[in-house]
Amino acid sequence: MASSRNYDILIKLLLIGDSGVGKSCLLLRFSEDSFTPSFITTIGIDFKIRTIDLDGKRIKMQIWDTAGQERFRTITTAYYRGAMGILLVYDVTDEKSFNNIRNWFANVEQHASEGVNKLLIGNKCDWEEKRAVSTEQGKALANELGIPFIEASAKANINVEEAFVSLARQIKQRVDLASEPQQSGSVDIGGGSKNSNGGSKCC
Amino acid sequence: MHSVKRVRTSAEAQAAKKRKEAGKIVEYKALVDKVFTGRDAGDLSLNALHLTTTLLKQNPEYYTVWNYRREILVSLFKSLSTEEIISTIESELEFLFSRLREFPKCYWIWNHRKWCLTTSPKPNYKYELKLVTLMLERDARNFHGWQYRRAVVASIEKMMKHPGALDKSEFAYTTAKINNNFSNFSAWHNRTKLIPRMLIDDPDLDGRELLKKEIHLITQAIYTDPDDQSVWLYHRWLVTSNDIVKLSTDERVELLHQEIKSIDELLVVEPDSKWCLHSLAFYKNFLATITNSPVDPSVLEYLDRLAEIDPMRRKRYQDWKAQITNTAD
Amino acid sequence: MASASSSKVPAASPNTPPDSCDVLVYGTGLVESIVAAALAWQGTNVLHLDPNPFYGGLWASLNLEELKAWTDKINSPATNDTPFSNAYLYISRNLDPRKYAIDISPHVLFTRADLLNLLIQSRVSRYLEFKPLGSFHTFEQDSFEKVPGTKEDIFTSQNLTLLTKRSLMRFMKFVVIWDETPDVWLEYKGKPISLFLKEKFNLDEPQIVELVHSIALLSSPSSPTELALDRIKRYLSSMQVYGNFPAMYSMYGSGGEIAQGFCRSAAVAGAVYRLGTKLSSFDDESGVAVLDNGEKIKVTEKLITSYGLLPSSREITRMVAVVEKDCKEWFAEGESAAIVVFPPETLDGNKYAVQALVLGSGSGQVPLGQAVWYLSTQESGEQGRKDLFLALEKMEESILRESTEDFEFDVSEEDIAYLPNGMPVVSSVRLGESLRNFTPKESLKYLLKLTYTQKVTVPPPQPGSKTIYVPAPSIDIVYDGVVTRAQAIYEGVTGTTEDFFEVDFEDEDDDATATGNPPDTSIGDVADIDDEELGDHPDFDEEVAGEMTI
Repeated sequence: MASSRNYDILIKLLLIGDSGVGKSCLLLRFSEDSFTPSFITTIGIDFKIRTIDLDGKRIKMQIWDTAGQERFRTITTAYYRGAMGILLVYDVTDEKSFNNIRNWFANVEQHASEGVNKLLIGNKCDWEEKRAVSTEQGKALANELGIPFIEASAKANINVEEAFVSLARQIKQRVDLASEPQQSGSVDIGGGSKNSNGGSKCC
Repeated sequence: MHSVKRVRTSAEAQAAKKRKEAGKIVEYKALVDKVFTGRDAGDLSLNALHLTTTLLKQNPEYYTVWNYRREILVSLFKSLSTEEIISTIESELEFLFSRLREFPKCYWIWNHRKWCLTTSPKPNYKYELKLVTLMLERDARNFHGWQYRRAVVASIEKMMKHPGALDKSEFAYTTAKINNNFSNFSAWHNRTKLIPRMLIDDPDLDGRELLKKEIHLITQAIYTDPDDQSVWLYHRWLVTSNDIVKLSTDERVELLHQEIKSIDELLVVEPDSKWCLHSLAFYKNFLATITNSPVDPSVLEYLDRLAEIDPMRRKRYQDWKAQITNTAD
Repeated sequence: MASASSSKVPAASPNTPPDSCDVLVYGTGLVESIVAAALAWQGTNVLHLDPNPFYGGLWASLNLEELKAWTDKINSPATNDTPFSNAYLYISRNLDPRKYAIDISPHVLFTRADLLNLLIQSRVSRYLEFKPLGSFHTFEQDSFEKVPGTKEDIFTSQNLTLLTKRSLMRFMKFVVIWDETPDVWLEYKGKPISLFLKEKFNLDEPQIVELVHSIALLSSPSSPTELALDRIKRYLSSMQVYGNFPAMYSMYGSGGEIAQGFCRSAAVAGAVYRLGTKLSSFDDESGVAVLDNGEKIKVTEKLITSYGLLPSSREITRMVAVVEKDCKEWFAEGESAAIVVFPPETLDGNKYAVQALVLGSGSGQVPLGQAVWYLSTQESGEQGRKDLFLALEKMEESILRESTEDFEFDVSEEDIAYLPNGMPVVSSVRLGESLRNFTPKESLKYLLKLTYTQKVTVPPPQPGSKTIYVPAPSIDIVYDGVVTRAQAIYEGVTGTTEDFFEVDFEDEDDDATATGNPPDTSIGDVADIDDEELGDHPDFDEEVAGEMTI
């Protein structure tokens, strides 16, 4: 029986990584196809929604940003709840952000549900002059952590679509299509529960 | 680090909304024109069907359009195989379910659904029963749902060539709904239809026992909410109907006395209860009639009080009073 | 009004800690987190710190390792800035600490509560998951009776006389609009609620006890009439808002989880977060805060703090027990929680009621097959612990009785009662009598036991000071007062509450249908209806349909 929703599956994704690596830009590029060059730390981005078609199914992706709480490593444990996929992001021109990926990975292992799909993204790959982390290094780390790897650029719109879609595909394969991601027995508060869409735009 | 307060210009948003709505109205009117032009021209094509679909999605109350839609379908069926007809009707039923979700109380949708079931070479009444159960779960007081349920049950019983096959389970169903919320005319009404049939079909069922239990049940409801009209209507049916048990006059008198006493006790704590007063007046009057004796004078007091409490119907109570005092002479 | 941004963080280095802010919030408890978010959205530059490595402050929900550290801390004589003390903790071996989230200050949320409205208005509800709580029990005559909270409960109850049903209904009808009919209760203002209920509505003792202790969740029958009426109304009008239950709880912890939600909201609005950061000193004159790592921060407007040595008016006692039982016998269908109240005088002369909140594994606080019991009483000292241990015993007896499968007692004709639809059931009243002689074969395994004391603090008024104190979590099981306190603090900073969470979030209505009506997803699907739900229908074969043509 056709439901009146316009999607088949809802998946929650998270972005994780140091400040300034470009998480919000990746998010905005994917959800709105926009890019702001100036460095304004994440303000006002809660989560963004984009629905894609994947192998005949409509996948509604709810992608959460860190709200700047990664700055002093104060991401709430609640952030990880219900996440089905996590994008670990570093900046290829910033070695420190690359080295911190191990810490973020440990965080994810500690707080996210078991079996969560992960993807390592080296962002700003268009900025070759400033590159400090090679593609090989990125691949090696990803192999070590046992997760897929991709280099992308939100600015030049390289591999952004591919990154999110491939993560969605991984999740789709892992997760039972028929089941609702929302916990059974939960109360739909209304006025915007976890299935809600929209968020405030960046200034 | 800086922070900014977000302010959406709501005036802009509102103006945009108005423009959108105005456009929608023009669109709708054009669609109506198109549909009826087609009908007048005798257009019974698939395209015409799609037009009615669009229109009915926006306005399911437009019953002439449902008529037209049926004309189109009947015409289309002429050139379809049985399998294709069944499948078309199945799509039609899916369409109707989505409409029911938005408009659960639109008579024409339920009506068209009934037509689909009677037209289909292979109707699935079990599914229909589930569907109406679902709708009644959502709104137990939707009397369209109850009517439809009775029709579905009747069709199932006809198929089984066993009228009354589902009586007991339907009775249990109304019980469940009543326990959930007894303020439900349709549920009680359904009971009045089921009980006589149950008693006819099953000789082992003791009518007097059943009556006793029903009185016990309805009394709980009356004491819980004496302002609920539906429970008093059921009470009256139980006390006065000959369709449950053919009580002798003595038994009837005893029942009336018992119930009058029960309501009297309630009246003590609820002296202004319209329905207590009304029912007492009615039952005492009824008692007088079947015993061929004068009406108890307390009835006149009740009617006076009713005229005060319920001034909108004062004339009716006065008429009633006059009727009693006249026949007393 | 707070001044606009005065931040001096250089854009190029996001990891430099800020050296100034408008408002410094110290502590990530619920009240101050709401304030932080409200201020941040209003445009204030907020720096939010907490000395603990976790969120939640005095409202936190802790895993077992954090819990151990916490009890050590509050027992340490060096600690003088928290209202908690006297912790006795036992934890069984071999428990995975991360599978537990223990509330040090548990709360439940009624569906008609200002906090819920705020959660929706602020959209913080989107960060949380709530579960229903519809099972409220009163301990009376050695058993737990479910509280009748709706017309339907009263209608179907086997234990109430007709006249009692009427009296209760009359009262319920009045109480939902009590504030509009002062003529009925004004003369009882300030007087005990028990007096009002007896004299004005003719209610008997058992009904009064249920209303006061289990529905209003008050500790004493002398509670003032208007307070009790307000709470009873709140319970009753909270039914049917989201379903057949008046209250809810957030998964994975109560105040701590909600506080995290508000902290995220504040972060989205621009607030900066640092945990594990202790405030060494704050100079009220200059507004300079010094952190324990030596950093100095200039605070232009206010310091809001929930830590500090505050005067207290009284002490209450709390207990937490984790048991190796799922306790589902206490829960309504589809739920994983229950509230049990022991009225005064039911536990060997207890002066105050004991309230217990039971959460099963569905709450996310404990693993499958276990449950956490939170007990509290307004009684203090040794008497408080005694009352709680007695209540614990009763709960233990009850759950062992109800969950044991093989009963050895005979059911006779007198034990059978008939439901209105004619179905026979074993009378629960009779069952109570039979069960009184029942001795359980097994004993209950406790995986964790914790008792501690909590002070009720009274923040001193600080006119003209830059410091605003946040009081400790309320001893109530409900979140009453949280929003008003947050608003009061907000007003203390900005001078008004008019723009408190007045935020224009943008909306994308992509789930609306063509009519503009949101689709009614509450209807579900026909496939959800099991065959059993149709009723006991005889099997009819749909194939027999051939004759049904026009």
